[in-house]
Amino acid sequence: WLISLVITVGIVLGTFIVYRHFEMIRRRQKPGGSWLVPSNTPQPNAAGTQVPNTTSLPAIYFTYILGSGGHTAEMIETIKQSFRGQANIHRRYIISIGDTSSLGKARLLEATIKDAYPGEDDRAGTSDIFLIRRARKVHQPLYTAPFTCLISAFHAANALTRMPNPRSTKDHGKGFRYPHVIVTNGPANGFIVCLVAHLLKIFYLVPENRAKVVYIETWARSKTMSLTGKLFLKTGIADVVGVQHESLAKIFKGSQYIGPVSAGFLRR
Amino acid sequence: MDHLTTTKHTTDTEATHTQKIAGQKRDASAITTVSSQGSSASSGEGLEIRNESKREGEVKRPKLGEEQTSSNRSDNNMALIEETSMEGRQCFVTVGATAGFRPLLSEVITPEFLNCLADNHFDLLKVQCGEDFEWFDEQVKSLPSSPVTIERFAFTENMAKHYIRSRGEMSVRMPGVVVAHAGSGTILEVLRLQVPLVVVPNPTLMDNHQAELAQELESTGDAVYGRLGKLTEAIARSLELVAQDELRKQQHLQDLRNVEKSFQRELEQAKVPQTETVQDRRQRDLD
Repeated sequence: WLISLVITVGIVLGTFIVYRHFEMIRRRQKPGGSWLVPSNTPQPNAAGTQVPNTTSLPAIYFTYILGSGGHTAEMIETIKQSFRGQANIHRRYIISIGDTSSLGKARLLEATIKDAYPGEDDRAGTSDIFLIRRARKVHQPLYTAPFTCLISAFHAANALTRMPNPRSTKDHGKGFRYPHVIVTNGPANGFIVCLVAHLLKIFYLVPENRAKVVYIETWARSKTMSLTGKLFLKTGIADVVGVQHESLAKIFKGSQYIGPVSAGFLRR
Repeated sequence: MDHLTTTKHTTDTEATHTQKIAGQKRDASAITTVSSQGSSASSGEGLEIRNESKREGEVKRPKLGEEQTSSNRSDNNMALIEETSMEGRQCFVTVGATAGFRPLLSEVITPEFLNCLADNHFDLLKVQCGEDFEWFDEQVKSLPSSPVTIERFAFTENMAKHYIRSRGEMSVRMPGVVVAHAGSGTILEVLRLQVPLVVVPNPTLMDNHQAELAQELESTGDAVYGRLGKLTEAIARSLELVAQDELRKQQHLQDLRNVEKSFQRELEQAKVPQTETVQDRRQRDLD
């Protein structure tokens, strides 16, 4: 009877997950709808496009997932392109343990932002860095991979639900309980973190209107989508799948052209 | 300066042509100069070997003498001083940190490529070789002779300073070129620093999406698509691109100057009646 119990629980859980998954996707606003259009007084950003004004919101909390090499470089560039000095922004970086180059780049970026707003000027916002375990190390045997994946999933859940320290005791501390937006551009860890975020939302552990997943396809892809990109597109985990070439957006339905956000300085 | 470069190569007219135009990049980059950020010495830079064998020195010295005689003939000593105080062109080859790229490394030390560099007045070839450092080191040591200096190292955190060394700057250095693997991180960093770039996709990589990016960059004119086995062509095209870019900038500057002139003219025309009215008013007051 134990086996039958396990099977029953499994079926119920499976049905619940599938139902919640599609329910969430159904309730999601359609891509390209009115929600992407600036709502209140728009502020032109550095690239000249108009973005919603977020200065009056109590809290804005971004989580960025940094991966290896090119992924990190592109993500840092994207952050720079979209950065506007606002005191209500918290940025969290999720980096794999041992990825010293990404760690260095994230620290350098934060130091640059701090330098731009010296002294009492709090428009630099706040930031912290979370290290999570790599899902699979190079040369790691495959049969242990599920376990290490599980460990990194727990790390990811911790990174997603832990309140930012510099905010917890301040005004609007509750607004920083969960991230508003998770941004990833394709490293392996990114998919795991986003999957965990999706599961947390399925089990009502994180409110549905939080932890929105934004996947940005790397700028290096102009005609084909990467495997991670297809995965995000097919599973519907990502709320927005952004691509940086118009040609790519035409080929893959459901993806949106968002401009060369990680190569903004090339725009003419 | 252009005079000097033309005297150097009277036989190879095509090369001198590109060189002559490309030389103008120096003036251009004065406008586009970005403050160099990577001046601090990096700790991650472990292995850097300067390979300047005696043989290379011998090759270099007569070349310098030749320059001197030619410039003396042309009675242009000032140009010589400026030329020698300026750093020459650098060709910086990088394969990135994640994977090795032996075909590219072996191509850049072929005699054809080295001669091509020398013909285009490059005097330094710097190679970041990643995991293949020891292999490359042996290859370079077994070279009979090289018309350009070859420096090499495995990896450094601070790549920006090497990239900047390839960027033309007025009365500081001639524009060189960065020959890079098609990793997006490298490409973005190099293009951000406004350094001439040749992108060489690795054909052995999965589903070869790097070639896609290289074609895209070639079509927008941001970089040159370098194919393995045809790198010399890519170098020539890169120099041409630099020259074109320079001409465009010069044209733009000229346009700006014209606009400014026309503004000033308008201002002067507007001033004349204004001063008259003031004088009129004074006279009226006096009356």
